Amino acid sequence: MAHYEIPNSGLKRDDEGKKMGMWLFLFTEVLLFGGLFLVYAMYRFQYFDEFKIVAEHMDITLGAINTVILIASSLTVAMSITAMKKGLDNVAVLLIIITIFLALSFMVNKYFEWSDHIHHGLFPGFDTFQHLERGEGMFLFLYYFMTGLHGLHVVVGAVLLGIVIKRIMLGKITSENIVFQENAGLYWHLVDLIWIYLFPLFYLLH
Amino acid sequence: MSNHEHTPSFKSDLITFGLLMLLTAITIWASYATGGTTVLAVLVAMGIATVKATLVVRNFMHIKYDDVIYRIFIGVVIIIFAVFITLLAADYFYR
Repeated sequence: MAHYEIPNSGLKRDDEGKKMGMWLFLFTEVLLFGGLFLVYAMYRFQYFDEFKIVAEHMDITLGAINTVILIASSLTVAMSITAMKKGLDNVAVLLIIITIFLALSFMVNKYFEWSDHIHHGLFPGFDTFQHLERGEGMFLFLYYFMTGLHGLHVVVGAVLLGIVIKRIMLGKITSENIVFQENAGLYWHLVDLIWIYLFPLFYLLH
Repeated sequence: MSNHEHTPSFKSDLITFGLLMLLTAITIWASYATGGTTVLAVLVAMGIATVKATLVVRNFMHIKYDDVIYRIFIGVVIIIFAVFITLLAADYFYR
């Protein structure tokens, strides 16, 4: 990989093009979340005190655990690509299985976190939520929307990694033809990147 | 294109992971030390997040092994975002 293939060289694939296509897609994802970060920034200015009140009730421990989980999963994905390049197929598969397991743990944590909020009526539509100050509701709305959209990306990433395992098993991904796994890895790292910003914005700035 | 292929190693992956963990610990500690919502707290939190993001992009997403065009792409995206946030802030504060 990482070399341009000369036309008629006998290779019927363009790894560099595939990787560049993936990066271009990732940039559209950055624009999607970037827009949401802009909305967050402006409302944080507008409802400074109200944001602070709700942010104080966020569970930093749970947020920190999820941060550790996502960074660890980024490590296992990166290591699985390293393993694959070294020809250690079984190690690569094992590392991806661990990654998917970490993705599930992340979602389970999120489930407990959200159900706790919902239990307290802090979800759009509930009476308690309707009686919150405007800015408090805005914080929670952005929190649900942004972590929810991020959670959707975690699920999609886990599915992609499942496909990677299947393709390794079928011999469609090898140490010489690894671009699919690398692209799935890029997607997974983007999920981690977004969380790196979500964690301080929703948990730490209290 | 890069002339010789660098191979990533488990060791460098683990070092990156260690640094990310360390920075996570620092940012949590700093959020208490800086008082949560002061301007300093926001700058420190976003600064550390950006260092973490750079580590992920450079070491895990292998930008350090990639052609320079990818760095240019990322630079352009960052500039576009900076322009957006500047224009929005200008509109917000001088409206």
